[in-house]
Amino acid sequence: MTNILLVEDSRISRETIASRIACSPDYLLLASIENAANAEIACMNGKIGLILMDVCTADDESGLRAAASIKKHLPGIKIIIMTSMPEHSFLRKAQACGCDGFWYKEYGDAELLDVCGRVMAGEPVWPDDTPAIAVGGAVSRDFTERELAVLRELALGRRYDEIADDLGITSNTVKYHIKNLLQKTGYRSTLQLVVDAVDKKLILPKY
Amino acid sequence: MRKQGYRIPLRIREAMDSCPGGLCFSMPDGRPILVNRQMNRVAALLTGHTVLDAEALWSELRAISAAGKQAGAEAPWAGASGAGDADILDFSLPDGGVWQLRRDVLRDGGQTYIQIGASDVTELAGLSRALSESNRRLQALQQRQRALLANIVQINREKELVSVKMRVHDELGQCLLATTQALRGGTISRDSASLAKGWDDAIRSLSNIPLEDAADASQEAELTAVAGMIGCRILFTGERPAGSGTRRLLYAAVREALTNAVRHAGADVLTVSIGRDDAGYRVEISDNGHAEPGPIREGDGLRDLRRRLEQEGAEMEIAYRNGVVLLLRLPFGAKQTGGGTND
Repeated sequence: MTNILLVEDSRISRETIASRIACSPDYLLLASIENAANAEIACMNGKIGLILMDVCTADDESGLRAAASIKKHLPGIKIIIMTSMPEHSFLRKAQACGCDGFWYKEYGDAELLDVCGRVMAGEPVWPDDTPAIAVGGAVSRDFTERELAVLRELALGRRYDEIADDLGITSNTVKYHIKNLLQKTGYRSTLQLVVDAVDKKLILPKY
Repeated sequence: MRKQGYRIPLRIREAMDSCPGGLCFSMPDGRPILVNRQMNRVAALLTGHTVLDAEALWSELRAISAAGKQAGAEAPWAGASGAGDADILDFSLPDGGVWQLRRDVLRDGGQTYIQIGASDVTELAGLSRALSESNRRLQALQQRQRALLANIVQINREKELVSVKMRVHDELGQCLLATTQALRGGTISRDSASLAKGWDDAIRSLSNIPLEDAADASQEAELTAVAGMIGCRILFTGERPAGSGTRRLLYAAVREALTNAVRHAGADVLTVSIGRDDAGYRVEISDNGHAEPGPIREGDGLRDLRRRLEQEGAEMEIAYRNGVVLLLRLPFGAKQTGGGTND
């Protein structure tokens, strides 16, 4: 029997996930919390074996940040990151902070309990790709990593010279990437581009 | 000697008058040596008279410039405005032109002269105005962008809630339809079990919705509950910060203190005392653990906390008083969002 800590700030999602966990004899939902920043404290008693961690939690606390800290101090605890946001960087960030699995709440066919079982058996479970999101006339998978990095900086309201500094490229290269982004999407301004990318949750810089 | 020095050949005067810019040369006491037509025109438009005394003219222009600034004219081009004490002044003339006037001191051998030049910078001013306007528009766009980002997660949650409400609406509609058909068809007793289950599910879903809108359980309650999971009680005393940003900073500090107190000092009670003065909140966080006396090394957690606090103008001091004590000064209006902001 594995004790689960559920970190999820939406009551409806919490109850749905809790009812799925209740269906399995292999798991016990030991605690549910809304704020990812409290997760590490809840794990310090050594009873939690698996955390189901949402990314965007109460008080704007990032589940990814909390997961990184837990993996550093309590590496034995398995963590599955869950999200309904198609933000393209979440998958990479979850891998970078040592999480064990990733589950899209609203995309793909993976069943939560199946993902939990595979993770607890020691298998890393990662979706093949982030969900494809239409941005203007393009699909998110049409963008290069560099273009997405520039788009993220634009969404933070950074100027071209600041973007160049942050990414270690020249201002002309920044303009080149932006020109390509506009060409691919068919948008005439960076504002249209950023508004659509943020509206579709392809970019959520706060997390 | 004087008259000899000031005599200007006619052809030089004509050449100076044909110059598109304004020029004025004078002795240090202001007596004009040469003033061209353009300079007299600009001076007349600005002061109402031609150049009689160059130094008096410059003082007058400075006064006009300062008055234009005080009247709130939009620097640098609208109305009389200028570069303050510097020897360059900018003016918008009544004829729509924008002129820049500059005063220089020239030395030739042992003699000193004053030169005042006037240049037509109307085109430059137009470009500068257009640039300022573009910058203003860009800033407004960036503000809209930031506002959008700040709300996007909330907007998404609201969309999810609307979608759930629509689903519950459909469920209830189906139950009503099925029940009506069962009543009409006389199959109510046969289908009662499945109908009852349908109604139960729909009502359960319905009962969840208002709770989603209600304020979530307080963050303090959750923090206290997780502290209880590791055998530690948190005792809060004093008025909690009114602003949500300041409260988040407080709870971030309490979390860090709690983790350290339990992990390193075996504490089972954490005391959080909150007071306030005109500048903000004073918070003292102490515990009943058994921390070793001596210098306190700031690990990653305390360093991250210090950075987060200082970003919002808060201060943190760490002291040892029979245990580790965190002393905080929190501003009233901290805008701190979650710790994930820097991810």
